[in-house]
Amino acid sequence: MKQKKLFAAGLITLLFLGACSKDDTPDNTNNEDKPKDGVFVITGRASAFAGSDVIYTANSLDTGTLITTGTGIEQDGSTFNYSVNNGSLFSFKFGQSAAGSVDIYGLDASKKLVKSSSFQTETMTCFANVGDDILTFKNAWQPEEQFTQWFRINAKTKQIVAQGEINAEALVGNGEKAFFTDVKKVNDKVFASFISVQSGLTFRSAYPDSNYVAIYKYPEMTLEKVVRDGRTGSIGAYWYNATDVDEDGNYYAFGTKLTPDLSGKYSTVTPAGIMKIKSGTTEYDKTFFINLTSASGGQYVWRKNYLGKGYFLLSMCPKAYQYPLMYLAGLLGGGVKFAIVNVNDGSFKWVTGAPAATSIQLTTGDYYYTKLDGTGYVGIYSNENNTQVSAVYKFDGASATATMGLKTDGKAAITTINWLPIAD
Amino acid sequence: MADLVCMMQLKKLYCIIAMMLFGMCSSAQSGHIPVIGFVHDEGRNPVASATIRCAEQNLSASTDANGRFELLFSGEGAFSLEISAVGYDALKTQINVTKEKHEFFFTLQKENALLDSVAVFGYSATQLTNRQAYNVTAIDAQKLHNTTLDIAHVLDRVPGARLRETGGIGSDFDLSLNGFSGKRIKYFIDGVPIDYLGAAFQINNVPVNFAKRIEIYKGVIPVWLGSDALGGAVNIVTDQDMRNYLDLSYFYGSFNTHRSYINTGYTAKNGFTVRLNAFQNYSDNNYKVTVDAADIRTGKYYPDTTIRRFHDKYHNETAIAQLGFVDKKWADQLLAGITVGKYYKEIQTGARLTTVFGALHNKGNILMPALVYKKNDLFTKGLNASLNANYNFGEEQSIDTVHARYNWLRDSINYRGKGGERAYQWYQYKNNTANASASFTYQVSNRHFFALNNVYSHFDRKGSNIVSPHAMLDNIPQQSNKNISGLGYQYKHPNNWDISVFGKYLYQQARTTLIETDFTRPGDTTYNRVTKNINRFGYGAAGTYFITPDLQWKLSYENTYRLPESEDLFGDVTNKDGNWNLKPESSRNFNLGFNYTHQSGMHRLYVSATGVYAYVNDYIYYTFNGYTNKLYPENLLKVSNLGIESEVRYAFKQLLSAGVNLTYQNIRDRQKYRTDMQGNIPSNTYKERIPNVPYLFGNADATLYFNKILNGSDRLSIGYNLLYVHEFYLYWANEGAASTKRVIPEQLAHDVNLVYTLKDGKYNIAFECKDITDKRLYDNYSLQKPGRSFNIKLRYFIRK
Repeated sequence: MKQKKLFAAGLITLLFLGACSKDDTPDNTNNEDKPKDGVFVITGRASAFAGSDVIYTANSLDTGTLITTGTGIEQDGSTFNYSVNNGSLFSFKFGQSAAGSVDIYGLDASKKLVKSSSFQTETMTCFANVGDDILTFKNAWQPEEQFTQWFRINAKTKQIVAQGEINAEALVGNGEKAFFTDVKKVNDKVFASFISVQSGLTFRSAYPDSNYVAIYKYPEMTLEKVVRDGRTGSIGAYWYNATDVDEDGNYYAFGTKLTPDLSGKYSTVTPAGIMKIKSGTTEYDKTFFINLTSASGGQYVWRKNYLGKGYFLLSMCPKAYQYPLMYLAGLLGGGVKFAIVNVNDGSFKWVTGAPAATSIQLTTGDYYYTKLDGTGYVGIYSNENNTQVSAVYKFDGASATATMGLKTDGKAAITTINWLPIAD
Repeated sequence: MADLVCMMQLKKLYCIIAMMLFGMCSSAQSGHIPVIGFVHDEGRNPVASATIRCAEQNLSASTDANGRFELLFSGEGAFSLEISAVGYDALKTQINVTKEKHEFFFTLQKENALLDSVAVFGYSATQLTNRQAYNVTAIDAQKLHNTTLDIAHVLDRVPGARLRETGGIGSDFDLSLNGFSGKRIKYFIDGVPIDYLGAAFQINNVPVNFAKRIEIYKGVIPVWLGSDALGGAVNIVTDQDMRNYLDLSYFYGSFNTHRSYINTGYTAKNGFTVRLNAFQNYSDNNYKVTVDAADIRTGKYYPDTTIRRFHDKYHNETAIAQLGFVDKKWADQLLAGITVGKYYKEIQTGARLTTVFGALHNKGNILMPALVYKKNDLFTKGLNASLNANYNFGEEQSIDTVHARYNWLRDSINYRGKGGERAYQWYQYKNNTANASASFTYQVSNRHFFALNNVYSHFDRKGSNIVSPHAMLDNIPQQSNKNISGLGYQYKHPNNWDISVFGKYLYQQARTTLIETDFTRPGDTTYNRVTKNINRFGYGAAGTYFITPDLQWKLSYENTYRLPESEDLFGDVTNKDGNWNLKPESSRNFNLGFNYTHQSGMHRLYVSATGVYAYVNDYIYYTFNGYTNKLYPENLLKVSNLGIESEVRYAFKQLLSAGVNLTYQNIRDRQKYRTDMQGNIPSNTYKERIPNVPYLFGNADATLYFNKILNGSDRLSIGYNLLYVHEFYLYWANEGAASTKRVIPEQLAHDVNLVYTLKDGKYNIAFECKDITDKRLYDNYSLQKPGRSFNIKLRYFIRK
């Protein structure tokens, strides 16, 4: 069926949920033997519009039923990003282009979520945990805007501790603008991937087969270099993280190729694929490349989640789309199929046990949970014969299987999953 | 000439229909003697809305605008009549009804009082309007001319109406009628639509002195107000009867607010007339708000900081001049006019008080020539014609070119390069709106009344972002033409009932260029010039029945449509995206109400209640679109509203007037399945109350009048007004635990005023304190309105 879409009109709402919720840096994983007490923080959205995000808690992702009506903590609207850092849950209201407030929640002794404080920050279009900081970027968006601003928010003091500006045009140096899509802490540096775009009005580029990772010294945020590679194209997209760091400090970047060219077409000159920068280096490992286009039979990587032990869970779809989607509808050309790729041996397997691709309405996308043990938890909202099924699924990397865990009453779609420990 | 031929044919048609109806009616009335009477005042002016009662025959009637009434007597004889009208002494008299003599004339004496009981009683002077079968409230604005109100705030005191504002003077406002708001409510001046006049002329900056009467139609709209309103319409009626007059006033109030108004006119003996109506508003709006002030460098909040607003200045200056002739043989009115005005408005905050701006502002102007022609008894007695045309050359500008961040502490950070506080732009646009309307009414007899109305409106936006020009986007056509034709017929039974039926044909043609991408062939982005045509037919009926002259029932029904506004189709260039695929909203409304007046000695009591039901399909709702950072409209909802509005008023002599009104509306989501997903997935909000809409609110007021305080021609009134709005949820009720939900808190505002009038209204001074308890008031979540304010208004008024 020929599907047309009004370009200037947004039929799709963004999934503005930001931070990757797995334990963020590899050095955190040594606590796993003695897990701290805490709860899973699950956010959900029940209404199609005019509604708000609600934050729920659960003790297990494997069993039980979450009641989502008349429970949980209402947020001010539905355009929120969540991040856990230093025992606090940060709920960032997406402030459009203006400043917005951030509410901070912690657990009390009875493991109840309580609001502890709030502060204000500039709006952001990309952010991540970097050690004890949350680093946010407000990307230059409009054609005339030249400077991207960054803000370093300390999760302990809950204040902005530094801010600066990056010349987005000079950084990419090709007449377009650098638009940051992801940032990861790698030792004393941050690796910030960006795409080259004409502006945020279209996200189109004359260089869809180019990719860029800027390496900054941290916390100074002084630029050290920009690394590029010709084997694949653009890394990530607006509100789409496409890089990860494994337990050994190796950096993986996914050339997802979701940047359209100037005519709106997605280039097929280079394939979608995974690249690697070995721990301790700042150049791509030229011996490493996984061609995802050929492994998947021409599918696009809609989202990727690192499960630990070298396993990546991929959400794949037949069509590319440059905007983050709230509801998958028909735009991705037939829904989402899950696959497991192992970066240690290059193997690629389709996952069994997940809901049918065409029934999936929404997943948690980037905002899953893992203990980096080769498994991970993803929320899926599906339409099974006109009945809502909203549940957490556990994905196992080794067996490439999915099993249903925590269920909900089917009212709210799960949008993020985090683990929040009781604060020290 | 063609028009004339058309009119003649129309007249023929009317005559045929009228004759048919006459035949039907007269057969039912054989044996009775019809009596026709005329009621005048001492100056031979007709007295409208006078009540005529004949106790022996259990008959009653009321006079029309010509002071005329009809009664049907069962036979000949002498009967006693009692004739009463507001503002006049009641007349008790006898008439001898015979087959030969059935025309009578009566004269009423003005009530011997400095202040007529009209003022004491509120809006009874506009009884004629209120007596219509529609759910209408007419306000005698003249009685409010000494107050400090603007038109929007007058509307806020009407049962079933609720005004929501984002801040102080000149702020964004939203009036809801019968639970529906925004562009669903249509505004008229003397029956001429005033859509898209721009911010230089809108109901919250026009002083009440501009109006003689304000008519608020809730639910069903009469056909002679040609519109595609859904929920209601407001018609501002200006005084066309004054010949030589001067009305001057000046207002000064808290927050450095200055408002002035001049309305003057001269009419020569030969009918030449010149009129000027001008007003000005200025306010710093620097009222105190209690906010979480943030340090923009660290983000640290300083909760509950009380601070003055600092970037909220508003001013507008508008003048309407008219020149022409009145009371000529060929025209009762032929006026050429021009409306000239401009405004400037600073924007202090975003959707929440935590979002602070320090440079963002809008400005604009209005330049609108207009032509008015009115002729009563055109070609034949009873055929009245009214023609209006105008074109607005006004321009609007939205300016956000300072790349900085401000906070409540007036600290700011300037960022490098180009950018804005919200979105870098200097958008300049003209909507090029034009309006032409023609209205014909034909009073065939006292019983048969026809109305034919046609309203054409044109919209052709041209604009560009002058700091970021885009050759293609700046030239996308954004055009919409609407035409609404209506035909109505009213049958008025001489004694106690009337019924109206009407139909209207709505037509819209819109043009634009769509930028489309074919997802099966992603390379093909096409630019398609498209045109859409929408046709709809709406209809309705309204009836009223006077059980006694004091007890009236009203019933009305309408099946109507609201065409997508130009703003819905094309966006507003700053905060809203357009949606070309919108369908018209359709609505079915019912209104059933009664009103009862009781007078006993010095006491007068008025009670009214109206039940409303509306069911709207394809309700257009704006959702936030994340990737364009704008609001986006879609036909998302089915909505029902079952509500009641009620009012009780009491007056004692000419000393006290008091009233209370209360409105409850139950607006629910009727969309069974989710509209954002494929398949029939049950919606979680089905049958839930629509959030962020007030559902229980009311007003109470009381005024004491003292006459002849210092001399024989002065008057003092002390008034009190209470506004109450029950708290309501910002988001759906079933999302989140009750204790965590965001609530727009209850509003309880007490206003007091004191008006002193000298020389029978020539000199007036009013003093007012609003929100006397200085309670924090919110119409919208987080957006605190001005607290306590003191205002004074001086007015000079003469007429000859």
